[in-house]
Amino acid sequence: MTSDQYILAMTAIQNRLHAYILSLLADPVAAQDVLQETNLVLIRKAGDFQIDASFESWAYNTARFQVLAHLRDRKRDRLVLHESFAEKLAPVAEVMAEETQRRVQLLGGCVERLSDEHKTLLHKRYGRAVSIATLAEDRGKTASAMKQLLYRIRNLLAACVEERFQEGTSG
Amino acid sequence: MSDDDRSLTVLIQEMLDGALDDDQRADLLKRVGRDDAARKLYLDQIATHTALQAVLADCLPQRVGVPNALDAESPSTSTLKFKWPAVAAIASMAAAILFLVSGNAYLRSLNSPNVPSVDTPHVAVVTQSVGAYDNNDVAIRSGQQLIPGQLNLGRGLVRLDFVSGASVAIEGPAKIEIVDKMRLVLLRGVVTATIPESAIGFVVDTDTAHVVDLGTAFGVSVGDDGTTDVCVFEGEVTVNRKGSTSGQPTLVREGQAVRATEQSPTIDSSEYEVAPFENAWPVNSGVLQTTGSIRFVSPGPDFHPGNYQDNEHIVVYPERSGVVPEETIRVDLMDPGEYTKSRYREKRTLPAGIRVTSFLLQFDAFPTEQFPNKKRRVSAQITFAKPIVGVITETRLLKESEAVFGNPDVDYPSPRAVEPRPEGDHRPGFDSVILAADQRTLTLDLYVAPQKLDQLRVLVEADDSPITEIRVLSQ
Repeated sequence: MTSDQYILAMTAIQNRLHAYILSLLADPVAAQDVLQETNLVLIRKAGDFQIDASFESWAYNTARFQVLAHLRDRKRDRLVLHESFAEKLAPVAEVMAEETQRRVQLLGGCVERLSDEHKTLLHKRYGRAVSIATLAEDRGKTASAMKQLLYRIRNLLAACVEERFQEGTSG
Repeated sequence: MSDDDRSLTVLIQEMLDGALDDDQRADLLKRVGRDDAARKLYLDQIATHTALQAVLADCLPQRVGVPNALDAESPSTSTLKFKWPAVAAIASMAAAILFLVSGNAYLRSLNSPNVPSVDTPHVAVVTQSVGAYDNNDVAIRSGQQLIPGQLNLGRGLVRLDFVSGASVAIEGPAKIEIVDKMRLVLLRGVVTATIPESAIGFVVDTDTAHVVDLGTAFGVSVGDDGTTDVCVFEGEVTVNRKGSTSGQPTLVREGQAVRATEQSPTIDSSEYEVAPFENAWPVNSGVLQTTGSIRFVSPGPDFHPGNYQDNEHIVVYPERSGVVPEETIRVDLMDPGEYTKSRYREKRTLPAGIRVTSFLLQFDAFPTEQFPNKKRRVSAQITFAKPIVGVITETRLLKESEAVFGNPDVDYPSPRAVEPRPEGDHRPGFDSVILAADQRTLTLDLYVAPQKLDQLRVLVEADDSPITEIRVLSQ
């Protein structure tokens, strides 16, 4: 693998690595930090990567180490539990993360079925990370009503993706 | 869906919204850990959430409102591939890596081809963003253009390059108002600024002070109580007490500091204290990130390598910026990889005529009473905003390059070489210096005995003005 290919592989796996790290940490802010640390380690250790090895396994393994290091650094009692949770979840989380790409493909079609208003709302929330409070204010709703609306849209999309995903895997 | 499933779904969604406290998170982990169905639901929701973030950033129309100084229509915000907020912080890094490794073509695809026209109203560009978010938790990204208006930085660090040439780093939480290309108002927070000749006269206003730059590097902070501190790293500035009728400005020189408070009608001198600026200043100087045992010294007359010993940190000194050496410079390391010794005549050379900025990295240990002979070890990593074009580690080459990059007032010590591990030697205690494939990150693992020191001179491609940069990106 040339250094160009290595960087491209790193770029391509960002979504999946993020899903993986997020599931092990259950904390979006920490997940973002750990993803960044993982990227730095991947860059630093590019030279150690075995040319015939799987890049995905290499990247997930690196991310897992970074997650555990992050949890250990925090040194809080409750986190001992969290560490064993992360260790145990890691193999299934990897399978889930690998499926993210397929879901991305399916989701495009599901989003198209939404109304324009809901599409715009989702874009603001996910594409722009506008806070729920601001979205609610823009539309003259309460924050909890806005949350409910987003939950409903997300659930619709999740159900749509899940349905198409299951169709795909069973077919 | 059962009630139990519904409450688990809510818990997961709240986690994804970043709204869980530690107890709720522990509850979520417990439920997911003990039940296969809960685990499936948890992983499905995360996969969908991640997919939503990846898809929605690209497939929908862009927002058109401009809530504050951040211009939502700026080129890179509408075309960056890494759009979702959770990876915003790596976006600039990824772009940086890609720029170097894949060349311009890929970067061009990340940036819009439109070159700003002469009447573009923007006055500054975000040239670095390190975990920076505004008050609405919207990521502030490198490449965003700024028009006059208010900028609320909730957290993180940004560097703004003004079209006048002034470069300002802001550490969140901060509230600033950009007035025009030569003036900003700092309402709260910390900024550091470097002002080239083209921007002499750049103004930072606060509620209590009016700071005018006279060609310099300085820091200004405004505390919650409105107290303004001004600290001059290089050159000089004038400071006026706002509302004062005397009209006589106070001249503040390199290594001096002043304070303006609500209570006092005058500008009072204060202790020169650079600690409040230690986070913002590296960004201002072109350092993107540091991790591990490394600290960055804000410049000042008292900070030179000879008088700064630290057993626990590698200390970074910014040296000269934007220098164009007239002769070739011999360096020890130029290409990604680990530094190994080579014969003097085989050293790589940096061609003359390249504009570079130099930094001196030093690990200088001192003996303690308890452990007079203890060998010290530190590990650290530093990422620069621009590519590293050469690293110098050997005494002879350090000396040679001091003629160009060194401070003539500093008596540089000798010997001070980094000692890499010889091939086949497995004993511990050797130094390791690795230049990463991104060409911007240096990973260091250094050992020194008391009264000895390691030094490295890192040469980094010099900053271009923001205007030039945009043009280069869009060619």
